[in-house]
Amino acid sequence: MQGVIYKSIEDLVVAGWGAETWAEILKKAGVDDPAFVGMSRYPDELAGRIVGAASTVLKLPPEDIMRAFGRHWTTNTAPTYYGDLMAFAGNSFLEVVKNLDQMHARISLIFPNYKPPSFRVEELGPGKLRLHYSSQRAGLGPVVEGMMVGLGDRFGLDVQIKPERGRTDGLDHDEFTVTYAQRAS
Amino acid sequence: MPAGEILSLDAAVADRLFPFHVVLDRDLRVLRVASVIKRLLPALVPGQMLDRVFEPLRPVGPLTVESVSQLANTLLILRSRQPPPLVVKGQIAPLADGKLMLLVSPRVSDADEMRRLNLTAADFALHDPTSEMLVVLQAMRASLMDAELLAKRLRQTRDEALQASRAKSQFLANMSHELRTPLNAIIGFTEMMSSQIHGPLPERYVDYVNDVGVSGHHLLDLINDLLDLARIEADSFELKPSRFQISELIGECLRAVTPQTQKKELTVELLESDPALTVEADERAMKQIMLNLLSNAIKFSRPSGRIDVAVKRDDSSYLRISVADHGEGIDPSTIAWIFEPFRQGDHQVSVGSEGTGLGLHIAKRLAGLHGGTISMKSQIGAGTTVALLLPPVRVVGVEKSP
Repeated sequence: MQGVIYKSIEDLVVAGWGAETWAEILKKAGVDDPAFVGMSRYPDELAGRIVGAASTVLKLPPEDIMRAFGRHWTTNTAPTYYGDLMAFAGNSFLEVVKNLDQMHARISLIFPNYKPPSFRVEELGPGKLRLHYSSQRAGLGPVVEGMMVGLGDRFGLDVQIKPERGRTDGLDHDEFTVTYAQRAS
Repeated sequence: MPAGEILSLDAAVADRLFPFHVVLDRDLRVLRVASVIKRLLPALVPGQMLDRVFEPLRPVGPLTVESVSQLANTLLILRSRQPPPLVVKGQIAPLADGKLMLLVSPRVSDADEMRRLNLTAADFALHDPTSEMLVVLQAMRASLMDAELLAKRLRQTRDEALQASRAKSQFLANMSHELRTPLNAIIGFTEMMSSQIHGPLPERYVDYVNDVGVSGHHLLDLINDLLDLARIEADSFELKPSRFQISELIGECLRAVTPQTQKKELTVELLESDPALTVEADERAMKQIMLNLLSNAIKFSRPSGRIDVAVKRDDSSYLRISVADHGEGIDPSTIAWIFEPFRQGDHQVSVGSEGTGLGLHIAKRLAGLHGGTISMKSQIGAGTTVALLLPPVRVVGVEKSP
């Protein structure tokens, strides 16, 4: 995984729990060099170790941590590092979600070692869609859930996302039902 | 589709495949404008002349009907004459019906440009590589941000480390001072007891008192070294420059080490020296450097060996004061770190040398404070030459002794 993912987790933990907690998590995860470089690649298993350590230190289920990361990624990290790309992805929640697959595919054209997830959108009606999510990495569904909620934040929408079916049901991907509506002010 | 034609597109499909195209007549008058470029440039309407909307950057010169035949094979770069500032690049293609098709897409040199133009991925044809270009630009920007952040962190860490080091040095300086005061009393009273000025000591205590004296002096040397090092590292070692003849200083140092040279029956030869050569330097520091170089040479000389001392100006007018022993020599790989504090060459350990491991380091730092340095050359079995180099500015000429 790209270093920027780990930097985002770091930002999330430091903002919410402080630098000392982050240091404790890294220590527990057995990370020697705490400085992540955004464009460098790190082993995927490191993410699992860090989330596991964070779960123990913060006393939160790993799924909650992944959801929080997904939301933080969309509302903080991506606008900071990839703000123009985010803007380029679309001017509305639906437009961005529909362009997610294209954007990830284009990134993989530039960075051939990048293993991006794939997204397919089924529009079910106004404010409702089914999101098909495929990834070579298993167990990251909660991250997608957090990202959708964060994307809703970006456009002032309340987003509800519910896992419907997935790999545990014998599919080769995960499916979510997403509903979104203007947030009451 | 007539024979020879391969492309006949529905307008909506053409719009999706070429969202920035413009159909022109042979006079370069606009006939049809694709949706996205129409949104960006409202002035681009049917009936308008192309050169009223765009100024050509490439090819250089006006866009004319006559030049159109050449334009089919030319990269076109056009800049909008009215806001928003938009540069497009592409080409003109002749159509079968005699019309012309301007096929362009926006130039992207900055990731902000897409945002300024309010262009999104949906505005581009899927085959258009502009999106990938944007990914590259964004990755470059992200890398730059990352590099700046890492550099900032490194600076912070370095500053913190320097601050901690200065605090440590200050503490060391204070402690060394506090330690030296009682130690001087211990040494003084030990010497008094050793001289038996107030009556004889039992014989077994004479040895003990001598041991206390030797240990006390060793401890004092160590504390003095630490104090010097702490001062240097805390940037509080102030040079007190004065003018003096270097040969006199070397003479004093040689006299000071005479007991040690005699003990090992060493011969010390002053090979080259201009007796009137005068330098401007901190005399005490120079003496400390010379005593360190001499005591090392004595330590590592074989009994009845020879030490050569030479003073001369080299080709660059640097003053070079070298001390050469003819002892066991040092492995060249050791020389790389032998000037580091608390390090001693392995050979020194093997010959049972004692010392704080600070002497050479301090000597080099003191030389550095004078704008000079200390170099070392050695050969196993042949001996070691250590040279103090002082820059020309420290050599003030030749003065007669008063």
